[in-house]
Amino acid sequence: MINLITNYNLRITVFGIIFLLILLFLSSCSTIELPPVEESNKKIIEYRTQLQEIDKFINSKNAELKTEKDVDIKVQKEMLNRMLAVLANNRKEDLTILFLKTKNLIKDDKKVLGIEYTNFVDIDKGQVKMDLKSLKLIRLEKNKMEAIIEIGGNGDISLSGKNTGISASISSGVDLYLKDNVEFKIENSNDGNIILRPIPKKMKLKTKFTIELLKWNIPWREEIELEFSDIISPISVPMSLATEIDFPFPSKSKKPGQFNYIPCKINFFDTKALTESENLIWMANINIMKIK
Amino acid sequence: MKFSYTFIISIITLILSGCTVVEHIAGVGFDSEQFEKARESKILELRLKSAEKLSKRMELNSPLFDYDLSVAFNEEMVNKLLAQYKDATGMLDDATDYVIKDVKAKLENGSAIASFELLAHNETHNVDVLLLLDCLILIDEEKKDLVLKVEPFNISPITTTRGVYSAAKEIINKMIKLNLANLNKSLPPLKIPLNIENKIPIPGNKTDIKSKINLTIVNPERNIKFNLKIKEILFFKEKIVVGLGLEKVEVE
Repeated sequence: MINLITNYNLRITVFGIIFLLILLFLSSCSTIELPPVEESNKKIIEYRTQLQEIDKFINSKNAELKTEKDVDIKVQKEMLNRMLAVLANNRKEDLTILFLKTKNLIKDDKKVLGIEYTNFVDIDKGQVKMDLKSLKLIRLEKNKMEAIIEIGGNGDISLSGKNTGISASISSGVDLYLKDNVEFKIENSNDGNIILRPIPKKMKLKTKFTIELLKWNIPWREEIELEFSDIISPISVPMSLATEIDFPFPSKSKKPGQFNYIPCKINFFDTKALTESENLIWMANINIMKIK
Repeated sequence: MKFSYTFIISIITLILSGCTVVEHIAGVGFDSEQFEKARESKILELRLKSAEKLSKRMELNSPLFDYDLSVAFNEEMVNKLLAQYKDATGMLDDATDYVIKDVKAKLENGSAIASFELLAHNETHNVDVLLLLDCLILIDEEKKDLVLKVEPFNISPITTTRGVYSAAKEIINKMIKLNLANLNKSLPPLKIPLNIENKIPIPGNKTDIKSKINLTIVNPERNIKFNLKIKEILFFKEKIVVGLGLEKVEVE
Protein backbone atom coordinates (compact mmCIF):
# COMPACT_ATOMS: atom_id res chain seq x y z
CA MET A 1 0.00 0.00 0.00
CA ILE A 2 2.81 2.37 1.04
CA ASN A 3 4.71 1.40 -2.13
CA LEU A 4 1.70 2.19 -4.26
CA ILE A 5 1.31 5.61 -2.67
CA THR A 6 5.02 6.33 -3.01
CA ASN A 7 5.02 5.31 -6.69
CA TYR A 8 1.97 7.44 -7.32
CA ASN A 9 3.55 10.49 -5.65
CA LEU A 10 6.79 9.91 -7.53
CA ARG A 11 4.95 9.80 -10.85
CA ILE A 12 3.09 13.00 -10.04
CA THR A 13 6.36 14.69 -9.06
CA VAL A 14 8.16 13.52 -12.23
CA PHE A 15 5.26 14.62 -14.47
CA GLY A 16 5.15 17.95 -12.60
CA ILE A 17 8.85 18.53 -13.17
CA ILE A 18 8.57 17.56 -16.83
CA PHE A 19 5.55 19.85 -17.27
CA LEU A 20 7.42 22.72 -15.65
CA LEU A 21 10.45 22.06 -17.86
CA ILE A 22 8.27 22.15 -20.98
CA LEU A 23 6.72 25.41 -19.84
CA LEU A 24 10.15 26.81 -19.16
CA PHE A 25 11.48 25.87 -22.59
CA LEU A 26 8.36 27.13 -24.28
CA SER A 27 8.65 30.43 -22.51
CA SER A 28 12.26 30.73 -23.62
CA CYS A 29 11.02 30.37 -27.17
CA SER A 30 8.84 33.46 -26.90
CA THR A 31 9.54 35.98 -29.61
CA ILE A 32 10.66 39.61 -29.25
CA GLU A 33 7.75 41.90 -29.82
CA LEU A 34 8.36 43.62 -33.11
CA PRO A 35 5.91 45.04 -35.61
CA PRO A 36 5.39 42.90 -38.69
CA VAL A 37 7.52 43.77 -41.72
CA GLU A 38 4.45 45.03 -43.61
CA GLU A 39 3.55 47.46 -40.83
CA SER A 40 7.12 48.77 -40.66
CA ASN A 41 7.25 49.11 -44.45
CA LYS A 42 4.06 51.15 -44.42
CA LYS A 43 5.46 53.50 -41.79
CA ILE A 44 8.79 53.79 -43.63
CA ILE A 45 7.03 54.98 -46.80
CA GLU A 46 4.87 57.40 -44.81
CA TYR A 47 7.80 58.91 -42.84
CA ARG A 48 10.04 59.12 -45.90
CA THR A 49 7.45 61.04 -47.88
CA GLN A 50 6.96 63.56 -45.08
CA LEU A 51 10.70 63.86 -44.48
CA GLN A 52 11.39 64.60 -48.14
CA GLU A 53 9.11 67.64 -47.99
CA ILE A 54 10.54 68.97 -44.73
CA ASP A 55 14.16 68.35 -45.77
CA LYS A 56 13.52 70.23 -48.99
CA PHE A 57 12.28 73.26 -47.04
CA ILE A 58 15.16 73.17 -44.52
CA ASN A 59 17.83 72.67 -47.17
CA SER A 60 16.51 75.62 -49.16
CA LYS A 61 16.81 77.84 -46.08
CA ASN A 62 20.34 76.88 -45.15
CA ALA A 63 21.88 76.71 -48.60
CA GLU A 64 24.25 79.53 -47.64
CA LEU A 65 25.64 77.54 -44.77
CA LYS A 66 28.71 75.81 -46.09
CA THR A 67 31.15 73.72 -44.14
CA GLU A 68 34.30 73.33 -46.16
CA LYS A 69 36.35 71.71 -43.41
CA ASP A 70 35.83 69.83 -40.14
CA VAL A 71 35.46 73.05 -38.16
CA ASP A 72 34.33 76.42 -39.48
CA ILE A 73 34.26 79.47 -37.23
CA LYS A 74 32.52 82.62 -38.39
CA VAL A 75 32.91 85.95 -36.61
CA GLN A 76 30.60 88.81 -37.48
CA LYS A 77 32.01 92.28 -38.14
CA GLU A 78 29.51 93.71 -35.63
CA MET A 79 30.94 91.55 -32.86
CA LEU A 80 34.44 92.81 -33.60
CA ASN A 81 33.16 96.38 -33.63
CA ARG A 82 31.54 95.91 -30.23
CA MET A 83 34.90 94.77 -28.89
CA LEU A 84 36.73 97.67 -30.52
CA ALA A 85 34.19 100.12 -29.10
CA VAL A 86 34.95 98.83 -25.60
CA LEU A 87 38.66 99.12 -26.32
CA ALA A 88 38.19 102.73 -27.44
CA ASN A 89 35.94 103.73 -24.54
CA ASN A 90 37.86 101.91 -21.88
CA ARG A 91 40.12 104.76 -20.89
CA LYS A 92 41.30 108.19 -21.95
CA GLU A 93 44.98 107.44 -22.07
CA ASP A 94 45.65 104.83 -24.69
CA LEU A 95 48.90 106.00 -26.24
CA THR A 96 51.71 108.09 -24.88
CA ILE A 97 53.62 110.37 -27.20
CA LEU A 98 56.90 111.58 -25.84
CA PHE A 99 58.54 114.64 -27.40
CA LEU A 100 62.29 114.16 -27.53
CA LYS A 101 65.00 116.77 -27.78
CA THR A 102 64.57 118.37 -31.17
CA LYS A 103 66.98 121.08 -32.16
CA ASN A 104 66.02 124.09 -34.22
CA LEU A 105 62.33 123.41 -34.48
CA ILE A 106 62.17 126.99 -35.53
CA LYS A 107 65.21 128.75 -36.85
CA ASP A 108 65.35 132.31 -38.08
CA ASP A 109 68.62 133.86 -39.20
CA LYS A 110 68.66 137.62 -38.76
CA LYS A 111 71.02 140.40 -39.65
CA VAL A 112 70.58 143.71 -37.91
CA LEU A 113 73.06 146.49 -38.40
CA GLY A 114 75.57 144.06 -39.84
CA ILE A 115 75.27 141.79 -36.84
CA GLU A 116 74.15 138.29 -37.63
CA TYR A 117 72.24 136.27 -35.11
CA THR A 118 69.82 133.36 -35.08
CA ASN A 119 66.53 133.13 -33.33
CA PHE A 120 65.69 129.51 -32.61
CA VAL A 121 63.41 127.30 -30.61
CA ASP A 122 64.29 123.77 -29.50
CA ILE A 123 61.96 121.20 -28.04
CA ASP A 124 63.44 119.92 -24.80
CA LYS A 125 60.82 117.42 -23.82
CA GLY A 126 57.11 116.88 -23.70
CA GLN A 127 54.40 114.33 -23.22
CA VAL A 128 50.91 113.86 -24.59
CA LYS A 129 48.50 111.17 -23.49
CA MET A 130 46.44 110.19 -26.47
CA ASP A 131 42.92 108.88 -26.30
CA LEU A 132 41.77 106.31 -28.80
CA LYS A 133 38.50 108.03 -29.58
CA SER A 134 37.24 105.44 -31.98
CA LEU A 135 38.30 102.40 -33.93
CA LYS A 136 35.65 100.98 -36.21
CA LEU A 137 35.71 98.34 -38.89
CA ILE A 138 34.01 99.57 -42.00
CA ARG A 139 34.85 96.82 -44.44
CA LEU A 140 35.78 93.17 -44.33
CA GLU A 141 36.58 91.92 -47.79
CA LYS A 142 39.31 90.48 -49.97
CA ASN A 143 41.08 89.16 -46.86
CA LYS A 144 41.49 92.67 -45.57
CA MET A 145 39.92 94.64 -42.74
CA GLU A 146 39.47 98.33 -43.25
CA ALA A 147 38.97 100.52 -40.20
CA ILE A 148 38.75 104.16 -39.28
CA ILE A 149 40.98 105.16 -36.42
CA GLU A 150 40.64 108.42 -34.50
CA ILE A 151 43.03 109.47 -31.76
CA GLY A 152 43.56 112.76 -30.06
CA GLY A 153 45.00 114.29 -26.94
CA ASN A 154 46.76 117.18 -25.36
CA GLY A 155 49.73 117.68 -23.10
CA ASP A 156 52.68 119.92 -22.41
CA ILE A 157 56.02 120.49 -24.04
CA SER A 158 59.06 122.29 -22.75
CA LEU A 159 60.81 124.57 -25.19
CA SER A 160 63.93 126.65 -25.05
CA GLY A 161 65.56 129.01 -27.45
CA LYS A 162 67.00 132.39 -28.12
CA ASN A 163 65.40 135.55 -29.35
CA THR A 164 67.63 138.39 -30.30
CA GLY A 165 70.43 136.73 -28.47
CA ILE A 166 68.54 136.28 -25.24
CA SER A 167 67.98 132.70 -24.01
CA ALA A 168 64.71 131.63 -22.54
CA SER A 169 62.73 128.52 -21.66
CA ILE A 170 58.99 128.11 -21.71
CA SER A 171 56.40 125.45 -21.58
CA SER A 172 53.41 125.25 -23.83
CA GLY A 173 50.27 123.23 -24.29
CA VAL A 174 50.19 120.95 -27.31
CA ASP A 175 47.29 119.33 -29.16
CA LEU A 176 47.62 116.21 -31.27
CA TYR A 177 44.99 114.64 -33.50
CA LEU A 178 44.81 111.88 -36.08
CA LYS A 179 41.94 110.41 -38.04
CA ASP A 180 42.58 108.10 -40.92
CA ASN A 181 41.56 104.92 -42.68
CA VAL A 182 43.82 101.99 -41.96
CA GLU A 183 43.90 98.41 -43.15
CA PHE A 184 44.87 95.06 -41.71
CA LYS A 185 45.76 92.09 -43.84
CA ILE A 186 44.14 88.87 -42.64
CA GLU A 187 46.68 86.10 -42.48
CA ASN A 188 46.47 82.54 -41.35
CA SER A 189 48.94 81.13 -38.88
CA ASN A 190 49.38 77.43 -38.38
CA ASP A 191 48.91 77.62 -34.63
CA GLY A 192 45.19 78.30 -34.73
CA ASN A 193 45.36 82.07 -34.85
CA ILE A 194 44.32 84.69 -37.34
CA ILE A 195 46.96 87.37 -37.71
CA LEU A 196 45.75 90.90 -38.33
CA ARG A 197 48.80 92.47 -39.90
CA PRO A 198 48.77 96.26 -40.28
CA ILE A 199 49.26 97.27 -43.89
CA PRO A 200 51.92 100.02 -44.14
CA LYS A 201 50.41 103.45 -44.51
CA LYS A 202 51.68 106.97 -43.86
CA MET A 203 49.37 108.81 -41.52
CA LYS A 204 49.42 112.47 -40.58
CA LEU A 205 49.52 113.38 -36.92
CA LYS A 206 48.34 116.96 -36.65
CA THR A 207 50.37 118.86 -34.09
CA LYS A 208 49.39 122.28 -32.81
CA PHE A 209 51.00 124.47 -30.18
CA THR A 210 51.81 128.12 -29.62
CA ILE A 211 55.26 129.39 -28.77
CA GLU A 212 55.62 132.60 -26.87
CA LEU A 213 59.32 133.16 -26.39
CA LEU A 214 60.30 136.63 -25.29
CA LYS A 215 57.42 138.21 -27.12
CA TRP A 216 58.16 136.04 -30.08
CA ASN A 217 54.72 134.68 -30.82
CA ILE A 218 54.67 131.73 -33.14
CA PRO A 219 51.58 129.61 -33.69
CA TRP A 220 52.95 126.24 -34.69
CA ARG A 221 51.18 123.63 -36.78
CA GLU A 222 52.89 120.60 -38.07
CA GLU A 223 51.79 117.36 -39.63
CA ILE A 224 54.05 114.64 -38.40
CA GLU A 225 54.22 111.59 -40.60
CA LEU A 226 53.62 108.32 -38.79
CA GLU A 227 53.89 104.85 -40.20
CA PHE A 228 50.82 102.86 -39.13
CA SER A 229 52.59 99.51 -39.30
CA ASP A 230 55.29 100.84 -36.96
CA ILE A 231 52.88 101.97 -34.31
CA ILE A 232 50.60 98.94 -34.31
CA SER A 233 52.10 95.47 -34.07
CA PRO A 234 50.40 92.48 -35.72
CA ILE A 235 47.50 91.19 -33.61
CA SER A 236 46.96 87.45 -33.11
CA VAL A 237 43.32 86.55 -32.77
CA PRO A 238 43.03 83.05 -31.30
CA MET A 239 40.45 81.00 -33.15
CA SER A 240 41.06 77.36 -32.43
CA LEU A 241 38.99 75.36 -30.01
CA ALA A 242 40.36 73.20 -27.25
CA THR A 243 43.42 71.28 -28.22
CA GLU A 244 42.97 68.61 -25.58
CA ILE A 245 39.88 66.60 -24.72
CA ASP A 246 39.54 63.96 -22.02
CA PHE A 247 37.69 61.12 -23.65
CA PRO A 248 35.65 59.08 -21.14
CA PHE A 249 35.91 55.40 -21.92
CA PRO A 250 33.69 52.74 -20.40
CA SER A 251 35.55 49.78 -19.03
CA LYS A 252 34.86 46.19 -18.09
CA SER A 253 36.44 46.83 -14.73
CA LYS A 254 34.40 49.93 -13.96
CA LYS A 255 30.92 50.18 -12.50
CA PRO A 256 28.18 51.74 -14.66
CA GLY A 257 28.67 55.47 -14.71
CA GLN A 258 32.40 55.18 -14.03
CA PHE A 259 34.87 55.68 -16.82
CA ASN A 260 38.52 55.83 -17.64
CA TYR A 261 39.44 59.28 -18.88
CA ILE A 262 42.04 59.27 -21.60
CA PRO A 263 43.40 62.64 -22.74
CA CYS A 264 43.51 63.11 -26.47
CA LYS A 265 45.24 65.79 -28.43
CA ILE A 266 43.33 67.61 -31.14
CA ASN A 267 45.54 68.79 -33.95
CA PHE A 268 44.26 71.43 -36.31
CA PHE A 269 45.65 71.34 -39.82
CA ASP A 270 44.78 72.73 -43.27
CA THR A 271 43.80 75.94 -41.49
CA LYS A 272 42.50 78.80 -43.54
CA ALA A 273 41.52 82.38 -42.68
CA LEU A 274 39.48 84.57 -44.97
CA THR A 275 36.74 87.15 -45.21
CA GLU A 276 33.32 86.36 -46.56
CA SER A 277 30.21 88.53 -46.66
CA GLU A 278 31.64 90.95 -44.07
CA ASN A 279 32.52 88.08 -41.74
CA LEU A 280 35.84 86.77 -40.57
CA ILE A 281 36.12 83.06 -41.24
CA TRP A 282 38.54 80.51 -39.86
CA MET A 283 38.42 76.85 -40.79
CA ALA A 284 40.46 73.74 -40.15
CA ASN A 285 40.52 70.01 -40.39
CA ILE A 286 41.33 68.01 -37.30
CA ASN A 287 42.90 64.79 -36.25
CA ILE A 288 42.79 63.26 -32.83
CA MET A 289 45.59 61.42 -31.11
CA LYS A 290 45.61 59.73 -27.75
CA ILE A 291 48.23 61.20 -25.44
CA LYS A 292 50.28 58.34 -24.07
CA MET B 1 6.49 2.75 -17.07
CA LYS B 2 9.70 2.74 -19.13
CA PHE B 3 7.59 3.32 -22.21
CA SER B 4 5.93 6.35 -20.55
CA TYR B 5 9.28 8.00 -19.80
CA THR B 6 10.64 7.29 -23.30
CA PHE B 7 7.43 8.75 -24.74
CA ILE B 8 7.66 11.89 -22.59
CA ILE B 9 11.34 12.39 -23.42
CA SER B 10 10.53 12.00 -27.14
CA ILE B 11 7.80 14.64 -26.84
CA ILE B 12 10.17 17.01 -25.05
CA THR B 13 12.85 16.45 -27.72
CA LEU B 14 10.24 17.13 -30.40
CA ILE B 15 9.10 20.33 -28.73
CA LEU B 16 12.63 21.47 -28.15
CA SER B 17 13.70 20.82 -31.73
CA GLY B 18 10.55 22.60 -32.89
CA CYS B 19 11.73 25.66 -30.98
CA THR B 20 15.20 25.24 -32.45
CA VAL B 21 16.49 25.61 -28.94
CA VAL B 22 19.30 23.19 -29.46
CA GLU B 23 20.06 24.44 -32.92
CA HIS B 24 23.48 25.99 -33.13
CA ILE B 25 23.32 29.12 -35.17
CA ALA B 26 25.69 31.41 -36.88
CA GLY B 27 24.08 34.40 -38.42
CA VAL B 28 20.67 32.82 -38.65
CA GLY B 29 17.81 32.15 -36.32
CA PHE B 30 15.94 35.45 -36.06
CA ASP B 31 14.02 37.41 -38.60
CA SER B 32 16.66 39.94 -39.54
CA GLU B 33 14.32 41.67 -41.99
CA GLN B 34 11.79 42.29 -39.24
CA PHE B 35 14.45 43.87 -37.04
CA GLU B 36 15.88 45.85 -39.94
CA LYS B 37 12.53 47.29 -40.97
CA ALA B 38 11.48 48.04 -37.41
CA ARG B 39 14.80 49.85 -36.90
CA GLU B 40 14.49 51.84 -40.10
CA SER B 41 10.96 52.85 -39.22
CA LYS B 42 11.99 53.91 -35.71
CA ILE B 43 14.90 55.99 -37.00
CA LEU B 44 12.75 57.66 -39.65
CA GLU B 45 10.07 58.45 -37.06
CA LEU B 46 12.65 60.08 -34.84
CA ARG B 47 14.20 61.97 -37.74
CA LEU B 48 10.79 63.20 -38.83
CA LYS B 49 9.91 64.53 -35.37
CA SER B 50 13.25 66.34 -35.09
CA ALA B 51 13.05 67.73 -38.62
CA GLU B 52 9.56 69.05 -37.90
CA LYS B 53 10.90 70.91 -34.86
CA LEU B 54 13.77 72.40 -36.89
CA SER B 55 11.41 73.35 -39.65
CA LYS B 56 9.23 75.27 -37.15
CA ARG B 57 12.35 77.03 -35.84
CA MET B 58 13.25 78.05 -39.37
CA GLU B 59 9.81 79.46 -39.96
CA LEU B 60 10.32 81.87 -37.07
CA ASN B 61 11.20 85.46 -37.79
CA SER B 62 14.46 85.42 -35.86
CA PRO B 63 17.15 85.33 -38.50
CA LEU B 64 19.11 82.17 -38.93
CA PHE B 65 22.83 82.03 -38.41
CA ASP B 66 22.86 85.65 -37.20
CA TYR B 67 25.16 84.89 -34.31
CA ASP B 68 28.07 86.98 -33.15
CA LEU B 69 30.19 83.90 -33.57
CA SER B 70 29.24 80.52 -34.90
CA VAL B 71 31.06 77.24 -34.93
CA ALA B 72 30.06 74.64 -37.48
CA PHE B 73 31.21 71.04 -37.23
CA ASN B 74 30.81 68.71 -40.14
CA GLU B 75 29.81 65.06 -40.06
CA GLU B 76 33.40 63.95 -40.52
CA MET B 77 34.48 65.81 -37.40
CA VAL B 78 31.78 64.07 -35.33
CA ASN B 79 32.85 60.75 -36.78
CA LYS B 80 36.48 61.49 -35.95
CA LEU B 81 35.46 62.07 -32.33
CA LEU B 82 33.34 58.93 -32.17
CA ALA B 83 36.00 56.83 -33.91
CA GLN B 84 38.01 57.08 -30.70
CA TYR B 85 35.52 54.62 -29.22
CA LYS B 86 36.34 51.91 -31.72
CA ASP B 87 37.53 48.82 -29.83
CA ALA B 88 36.41 50.32 -26.49
CA THR B 89 34.97 47.76 -24.11
CA GLY B 90 32.34 47.89 -21.41
CA MET B 91 29.58 45.99 -19.67
CA LEU B 92 25.94 45.92 -20.74
CA ASP B 93 25.00 44.08 -17.57
CA ASP B 94 26.75 41.93 -14.98
CA ALA B 95 27.11 38.99 -17.35
CA THR B 96 27.41 40.73 -20.71
CA ASP B 97 30.43 42.60 -21.85
CA TYR B 98 30.85 44.31 -25.20
CA VAL B 99 33.41 45.66 -27.55
CA ILE B 100 32.60 48.50 -29.94
CA LYS B 101 33.48 47.19 -33.38
CA ASP B 102 32.43 50.24 -35.33
CA VAL B 103 30.62 53.53 -34.90
CA LYS B 104 29.15 55.88 -37.48
CA ALA B 105 27.29 59.11 -36.99
CA LYS B 106 24.89 60.60 -39.46
CA LEU B 107 23.88 64.22 -39.21
CA GLU B 108 20.43 64.98 -40.54
CA ASN B 109 18.14 67.99 -40.47
CA GLY B 110 17.13 68.31 -36.84
CA SER B 111 18.92 65.26 -35.49
CA ALA B 112 22.12 63.32 -35.31
CA ILE B 113 22.17 59.58 -34.96
CA ALA B 114 25.15 57.49 -34.01
CA SER B 115 25.04 53.77 -34.67
CA PHE B 116 27.37 51.64 -32.60
CA GLU B 117 28.16 48.14 -33.75
CA LEU B 118 28.66 46.20 -30.54
CA LEU B 119 29.91 42.69 -30.24
CA ALA B 120 28.27 41.59 -27.02
CA HIS B 121 29.41 38.47 -25.21
CA ASN B 122 27.26 36.85 -22.58
CA GLU B 123 29.40 34.88 -20.19
CA THR B 124 26.56 32.88 -18.66
CA HIS B 125 25.36 31.51 -21.98
CA ASN B 126 28.66 31.82 -23.85
CA VAL B 127 26.94 33.69 -26.65
CA ASP B 128 28.32 36.34 -28.98
CA VAL B 129 25.81 38.69 -30.60
CA LEU B 130 26.62 41.49 -32.98
CA LEU B 131 24.26 44.31 -32.09
CA LEU B 132 23.50 47.63 -33.67
CA LEU B 133 22.88 50.24 -31.02
CA ASP B 134 21.29 53.40 -32.38
CA CYS B 135 21.73 56.52 -30.32
CA LEU B 136 20.56 60.04 -30.61
CA ILE B 137 23.45 62.50 -30.34
CA LEU B 138 22.57 65.32 -28.01
CA ILE B 139 24.67 68.40 -27.44
CA ASP B 140 24.27 70.35 -24.23
CA GLU B 141 26.06 73.29 -22.77
CA GLU B 142 27.83 72.86 -19.48
CA LYS B 143 29.64 75.98 -18.35
CA LYS B 144 31.93 76.66 -21.29
CA ASP B 145 31.92 73.14 -22.61
CA LEU B 146 29.87 71.46 -25.23
CA VAL B 147 28.77 68.14 -23.85
CA LEU B 148 28.16 65.51 -26.44
CA LYS B 149 25.83 62.81 -25.13
CA VAL B 150 24.49 59.73 -26.78
CA GLU B 151 21.00 58.57 -25.90
CA PRO B 152 20.32 54.97 -26.98
CA PHE B 153 16.89 54.47 -28.50
CA ASN B 154 17.13 51.23 -30.39
CA ILE B 155 19.01 47.96 -30.32
CA SER B 156 18.85 45.44 -33.11
CA PRO B 157 20.75 42.22 -33.50
CA ILE B 158 22.68 41.91 -36.72
CA THR B 159 23.96 38.40 -36.34
CA THR B 160 24.80 35.81 -33.74
CA THR B 161 28.32 34.67 -34.21
CA ARG B 162 28.57 32.01 -31.56
CA GLY B 163 26.25 30.25 -29.16
CA VAL B 164 22.98 28.50 -28.85
CA TYR B 165 19.91 30.03 -30.36
CA SER B 166 17.83 29.96 -27.19
CA ALA B 167 20.59 31.68 -25.31
CA ALA B 168 21.06 34.17 -28.14
CA LYS B 169 17.40 34.96 -28.11
CA GLU B 170 17.44 35.35 -24.38
CA ILE B 171 20.37 37.72 -24.45
CA ILE B 172 18.84 39.72 -27.31
CA ASN B 173 15.52 39.83 -25.47
CA LYS B 174 17.25 40.93 -22.36
CA MET B 175 19.15 43.65 -24.12
CA ILE B 176 16.17 44.94 -25.99
CA LYS B 177 13.98 44.89 -22.92
CA LEU B 178 16.74 46.48 -20.92
CA ASN B 179 15.86 49.95 -19.86
CA LEU B 180 17.66 52.03 -22.46
CA ALA B 181 18.07 54.79 -19.92
CA ASN B 182 20.18 52.44 -17.87
CA LEU B 183 22.21 51.53 -20.90
CA ASN B 184 22.94 55.22 -21.22
CA LYS B 185 25.11 54.88 -18.14
CA SER B 186 27.47 52.74 -20.18
CA LEU B 187 27.86 55.48 -22.75
CA PRO B 188 29.64 58.39 -21.20
CA PRO B 189 29.08 62.03 -22.15
CA LEU B 190 31.99 63.57 -24.03
CA LYS B 191 32.91 67.09 -23.02
CA ILE B 192 34.30 69.24 -25.79
CA PRO B 193 35.65 72.41 -24.22
CA LEU B 194 34.46 75.25 -26.39
CA ASN B 195 37.04 77.53 -24.94
CA ILE B 196 37.75 79.61 -27.94
CA GLU B 197 40.43 81.68 -26.25
CA ASN B 198 38.40 84.45 -24.66
CA LYS B 199 41.21 86.93 -24.81
CA ILE B 200 42.68 88.90 -27.67
CA PRO B 201 46.06 90.30 -26.75
CA ILE B 202 46.83 93.66 -28.29
CA PRO B 203 50.60 93.76 -28.24
CA GLY B 204 52.31 96.87 -27.05
CA ASN B 205 55.29 98.52 -28.70
CA LYS B 206 57.52 101.54 -28.63
CA THR B 207 58.35 103.45 -31.79
CA ASP B 208 60.92 106.16 -32.24
CA ILE B 209 60.16 108.69 -34.94
CA LYS B 210 62.89 110.84 -36.36
CA SER B 211 61.37 113.69 -38.29
CA LYS B 212 60.99 117.40 -37.93
CA ILE B 213 59.92 116.66 -34.37
CA ASN B 214 61.51 113.68 -32.68
CA LEU B 215 58.96 111.52 -30.94
CA THR B 216 58.62 108.26 -29.12
CA ILE B 217 55.24 106.63 -29.28
CA VAL B 218 54.47 104.19 -26.49
CA ASN B 219 51.60 101.85 -27.18
CA PRO B 220 50.93 99.76 -24.06
CA GLU B 221 49.95 96.12 -24.18
CA ARG B 222 46.27 95.44 -23.58
CA ASN B 223 43.97 92.48 -23.55
CA ILE B 224 40.43 92.41 -24.78
CA LYS B 225 38.64 89.86 -22.64
CA PHE B 226 35.24 88.59 -23.58
CA ASN B 227 32.65 85.98 -22.78
CA LEU B 228 30.65 84.03 -25.29
CA LYS B 229 27.41 82.27 -24.50
CA ILE B 230 25.85 79.48 -26.48
CA LYS B 231 22.58 80.71 -27.99
CA GLU B 232 21.52 77.81 -30.12
CA ILE B 233 22.66 74.41 -31.33
CA LEU B 234 21.16 73.29 -34.59
CA PHE B 235 21.56 70.04 -36.47
CA PHE B 236 21.52 70.09 -40.22
CA LYS B 237 22.29 67.57 -42.87
CA GLU B 238 26.00 66.81 -42.52
CA LYS B 239 26.67 69.66 -40.07
CA ILE B 240 26.07 70.97 -36.56
CA VAL B 241 25.94 74.70 -35.98
CA VAL B 242 26.62 76.19 -32.56
CA GLY B 243 25.60 79.83 -32.39
CA LEU B 244 27.23 82.01 -29.75
CA GLY B 245 26.56 85.52 -28.54
CA LEU B 246 29.02 88.02 -27.12
CA GLU B 247 28.10 88.51 -23.48
CA LYS B 248 30.71 90.67 -21.86
CA VAL B 249 33.74 92.58 -23.08
CA GLU B 250 36.35 94.25 -20.98
CA VAL B 251 39.82 95.60 -21.52
CA GLU B 252 42.67 95.08 -19.12
